[in-house]
Amino acid sequence: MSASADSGEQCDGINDDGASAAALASSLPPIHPKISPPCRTFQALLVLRAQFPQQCGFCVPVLLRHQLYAMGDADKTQTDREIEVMLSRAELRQIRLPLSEGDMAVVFTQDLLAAMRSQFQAYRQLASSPPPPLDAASFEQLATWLDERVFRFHSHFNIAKDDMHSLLEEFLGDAHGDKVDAVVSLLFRLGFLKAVDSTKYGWTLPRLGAFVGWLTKGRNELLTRFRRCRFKEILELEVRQKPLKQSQLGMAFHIQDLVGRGTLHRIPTTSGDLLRLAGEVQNRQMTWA
Amino acid sequence: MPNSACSSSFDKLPLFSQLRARHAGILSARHFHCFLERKQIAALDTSATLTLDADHAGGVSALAASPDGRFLLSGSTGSSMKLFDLDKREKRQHTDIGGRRIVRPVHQVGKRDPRAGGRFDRGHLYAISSLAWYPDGSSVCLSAGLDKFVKVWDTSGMDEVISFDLKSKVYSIATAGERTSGSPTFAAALEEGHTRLCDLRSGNFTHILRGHRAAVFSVAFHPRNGFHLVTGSADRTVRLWDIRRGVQCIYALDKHKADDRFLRALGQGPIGSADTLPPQRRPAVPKTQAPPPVAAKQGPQLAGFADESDVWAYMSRVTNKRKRKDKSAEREESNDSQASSSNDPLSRQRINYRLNPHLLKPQPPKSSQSRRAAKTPSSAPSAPTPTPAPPRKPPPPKHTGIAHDGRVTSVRFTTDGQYVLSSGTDGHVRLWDALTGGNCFVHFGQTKNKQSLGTTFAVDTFDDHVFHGVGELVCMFQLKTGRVVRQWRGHLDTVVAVEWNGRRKQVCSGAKDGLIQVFEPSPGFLRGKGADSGVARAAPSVGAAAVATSSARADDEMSEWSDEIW
Repeated sequence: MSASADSGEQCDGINDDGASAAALASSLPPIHPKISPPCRTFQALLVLRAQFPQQCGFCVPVLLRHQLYAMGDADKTQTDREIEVMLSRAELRQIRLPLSEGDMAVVFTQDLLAAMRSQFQAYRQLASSPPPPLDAASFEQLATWLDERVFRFHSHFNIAKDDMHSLLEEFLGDAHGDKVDAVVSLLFRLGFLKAVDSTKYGWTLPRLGAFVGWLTKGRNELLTRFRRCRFKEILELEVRQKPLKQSQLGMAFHIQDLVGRGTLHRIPTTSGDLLRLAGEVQNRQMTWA
Repeated sequence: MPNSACSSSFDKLPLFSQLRARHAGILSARHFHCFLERKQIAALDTSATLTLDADHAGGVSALAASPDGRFLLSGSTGSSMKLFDLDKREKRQHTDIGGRRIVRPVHQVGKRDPRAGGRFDRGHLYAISSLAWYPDGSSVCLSAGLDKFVKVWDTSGMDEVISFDLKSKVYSIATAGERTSGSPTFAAALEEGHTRLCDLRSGNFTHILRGHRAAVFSVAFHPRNGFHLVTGSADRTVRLWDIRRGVQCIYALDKHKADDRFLRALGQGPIGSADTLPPQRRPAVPKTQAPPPVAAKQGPQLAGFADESDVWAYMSRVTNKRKRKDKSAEREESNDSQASSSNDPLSRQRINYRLNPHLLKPQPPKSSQSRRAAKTPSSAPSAPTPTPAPPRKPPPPKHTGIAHDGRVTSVRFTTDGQYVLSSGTDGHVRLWDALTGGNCFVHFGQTKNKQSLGTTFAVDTFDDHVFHGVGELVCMFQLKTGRVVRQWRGHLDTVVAVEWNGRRKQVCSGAKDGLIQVFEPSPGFLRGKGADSGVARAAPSVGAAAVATSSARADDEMSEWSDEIW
């Protein structure tokens, strides 16, 4: 998928009724809206999901919440509300990134469960790992149960330890024995759960550290390019021509990220979109230039 | 929708039709007045006629408009306070230069006051952090400073009446009058993480609200119920309190907790609650709450007075004097002034005000409380009276979530008290439902708030707009959508305080550059001229370069209101 095609599709995809978005997502399993009617934000999420570079080797297509603000002329209030609705409907999961800004990543629940299953398969085939407490069939049950009983009612990105344990006891039945701890540690080993503090677990993703590393390094690299320019502005097509060295996430992802955060402004011009660094430096340069 | 009582089906008609409807008696005076006021608010623009000569050394840190709209009080980080009389009657303080009125302060207090002889005995020693007016009348105002004092001023001569030593830096104060809380009270947000409540009548501290783990930067009373408070702190939390409970806050607002009612209103509530539960039933609540009996008078020791009755006699004397003066003035003005006391739509405005059923449950027996209060030995103002024990142990707050990703610099209720607004150094302004404590998810954009101390922002009379400083700009946001309706340049440094003067329909803003800007309805607002005429819609992003002063047409804006969520 070429860079310029990305930008073209991204504008069209939101306004269509999902047809082009679905075409974009052809390589990924399709996502069907569960209950809520497909809204504008849902379409935007599908477009961003399709744009997520699969060659980076990350298990799930991850989106950042503020990336949605940069989709076309998104109404931020409307976007926030539609995301909240989808979160409460358990179509999406929110995952807190370990960054000081408190950035939020958004994952489709379907993708998350699929990743859990594939990680479990990989875990079983790994000879060095300790034997899992569950066989394949009961892990499938666990995934379904997580979807239906946990994610629907606990949409927060953290879950209290007591809640998690009592839920797992309910799942394992009367003869749970020591299995509760074993299942929790399995989820830890698979990389979907982490300890936040002494009372809370947090939902996370395997290799999230690598993702955050790419994110911060890619941001820095891209912003450095802008800072080196005299007027702190580059045409979007020009930026896209030179790929980032330190990030596997792709240029589209990073531009969307920075525009959504408000670090860059996207200004339409006759020769394509212009990206300009936000801030006072820009104005000061303009006065003497 | 907030204050829906004031919107009518005539709102979208042009002025001429409105006048005819009013003439025929179809449209009530209140609705017509609200229509005019909304027109005025939609036509707000930088004032072409009024300039405040506020040469504050060290930047403005606080602004407060008096309840009757006549006075504006400003405080600076250089410890000076200035009182402006916005009325034209005070000829001495007004200079007319080419149609532009320059208003000099009536009174000045602080370091640069020549009458103080260079000493600091009048006013505060260090920066002024917050100012407030006593809500009933414009004769008494309060100031808080980083010198750990709260001072009460008589505005007729700007004389210090009482001074409270709070033993900790005071970052914010708020006042509640007799109408709302039963006794004149002020709340002080302290650096040590407490909020203290003080009864102005007795001069004693009545409550300490503990719970924040860092400095409290902002405190605000509920506009109609003086028992409810909201505080914002450097520990990133916003807490709602009922002082009758005394021990714990009711909520710590969680930014990730969506307001259930708003989700349900969208028809898309969480599974298991939206589809199965009936819509939330609200108990019928009487419209006016009977004020509790006045607390028994106590015998405190007050600076400069023999005893407490002396102080109160003085205060009431001052108040009455001012009232008499104001009444005679109002009679003169009543021809052109729409907001005279008898015909004021705001005072008669029926507000669909919901009292929180959770908040009302633990009501301590009032007679025993006053008896207990009477028993406590009279002490210096700094010694707090023990908080009255709640009748039963309240459950722990369910949500201890954080409200912002940075310090919370400002909190306030909306004018009708149904919502809470908070602003933090993460650059967000958040709207919360005061009843449920849920986030309403209105995205106001980035406000570039980097203040290390408290700020203030304002909401207009109808809860339609929020006025907030964004860097050097003053922005007017739509409350419901978070969209920027208008933004004004004019300041040379970060805007710190924004104040809404409901009686005069003015917005005043103070910034670190020491200037005070006034924004007024442009004079031709009824003819469709002024700020509205032929200007494009405001740019969606606040920080975008080359944003001129632009506006949305008032009529467009009115027709965009939809009631689906509210």
